[in-house]
Amino acid sequence: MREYRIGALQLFREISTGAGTVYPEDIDDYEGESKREEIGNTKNQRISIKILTPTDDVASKIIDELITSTDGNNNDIQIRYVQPKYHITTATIMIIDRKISLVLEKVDDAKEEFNEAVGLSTYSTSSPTVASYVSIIENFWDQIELYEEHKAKDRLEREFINLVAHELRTPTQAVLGYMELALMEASNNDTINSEKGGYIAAAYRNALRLQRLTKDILDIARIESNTLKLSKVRLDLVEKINDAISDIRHALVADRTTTIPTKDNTNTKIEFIKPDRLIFINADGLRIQEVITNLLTNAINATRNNNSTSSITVSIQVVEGSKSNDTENGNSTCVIVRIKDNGKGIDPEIMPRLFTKFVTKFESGLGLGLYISKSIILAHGGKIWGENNKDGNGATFNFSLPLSNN
Amino acid sequence: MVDGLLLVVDDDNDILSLIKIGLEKMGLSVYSFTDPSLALEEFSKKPSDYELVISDIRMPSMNGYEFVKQIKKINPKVNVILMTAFEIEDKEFHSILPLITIDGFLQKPFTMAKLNDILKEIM
Repeated sequence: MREYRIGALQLFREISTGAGTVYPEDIDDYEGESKREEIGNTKNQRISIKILTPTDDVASKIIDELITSTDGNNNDIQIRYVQPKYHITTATIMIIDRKISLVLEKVDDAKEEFNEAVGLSTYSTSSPTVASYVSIIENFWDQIELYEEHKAKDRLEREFINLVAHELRTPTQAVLGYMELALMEASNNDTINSEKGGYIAAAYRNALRLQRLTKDILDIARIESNTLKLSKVRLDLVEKINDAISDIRHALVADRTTTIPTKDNTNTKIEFIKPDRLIFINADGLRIQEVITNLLTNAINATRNNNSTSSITVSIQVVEGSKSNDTENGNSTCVIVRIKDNGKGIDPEIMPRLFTKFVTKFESGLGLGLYISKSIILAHGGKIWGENNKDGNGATFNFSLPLSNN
Repeated sequence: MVDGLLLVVDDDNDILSLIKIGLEKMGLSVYSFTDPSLALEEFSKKPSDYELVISDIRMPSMNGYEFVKQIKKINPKVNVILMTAFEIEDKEFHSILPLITIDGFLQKPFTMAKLNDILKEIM
């Protein structure tokens, strides 16, 4: 393979030292017909060479060698590396100028001899053939530039989000932690029910809100910039639901002890109807728990002003093969998690925009939870939807996820 | 639950005091440093007295990974918790993890209750 490449690059070298031109253009003259004819014997004239190559050590070394050896000719050599997705050029070497094309097909990488490594080769001076090669190379050339720009932009965005994350989280950590300490202090010396205790409790609750908001905003930033990364592992879905429910229950208790008692939240019943089989999914556990927590929080908010006992039921259904709701993966078995509440139901006005950003009918919150949840579920290859219960009492939110095969 | 000493390192003084006070309220004895080099110096004086080291990851003079590597070199048995307000890049974390055993990880902002939970888990 090395011989083969060197052989091809040897041709480059001959051309670039004045024997001819190499695609794509003569710097001094791009369009002009008359000058183009002279190119063939433009010895020592400055020409431009563009090289498209897959990234590998051999190629880099040979190209370096080429650049050094032709330095004296004051040529303009540019190199772009083809991203792995477009590695079609591994099989072929094309040498093209505006008039001539030489295409060498690879036969056997392992051969050391140039003529054994190369198979069918075509040399053409026909302008339609040359022009079509030129346009292929031009397209690739531009595409790689765009790809590189895109990658650089992505990197900058990630760095920016990371910086913002740090700057938001650090003060939130201080406020949250110190308020928690103050609250503990107030509980210990029995001043929690005093006026001062009330101030501290309110500040702590809001520090918690700040923590959640920080998390949501950073999630949105990651979703919008396509930098939301999942760390998928095989995990027990029932366990994740249990964790989410237990966290929510803790939060409800904390809320109750730091809020002046009202009928709010005092009677929320969360029931989990466990399936009679183990359910494993391939998923990012923290993210899935985040979705369940979001849906449970919404259910609690929806039942906040209930006259009767607020009741939330979580259940799991395994849908085999083609009966699946997931039409795109119609044949794969999936699991549907349902969170049903007896709250005020989904307002018909927001029904069509339920999973878009900034849509909410709750008194507090930015309306980001369902949007984030949808992004997470879609990234797992699942679906999420919400509907009002048929009995006219409350709503049910569902999401589906593919079942793990093993 | 912990008999030995705890060593906490964070370059942000407010956060450092917060964690120190929080841990002391749980009845633990805590030494705290904003400078990892000074913390290392203190640790090397009586390495076996320490049971747990909690360290931030990004610090100006020495990063948390390097810090806990040094700590583990002196006393491999000591428990280590890392924390950060930055995003943890999976790649970064997994490339480091095989080299150092970390017993816990805290993504800031965390509550004191969460800190308590993770201590219970480790000890």
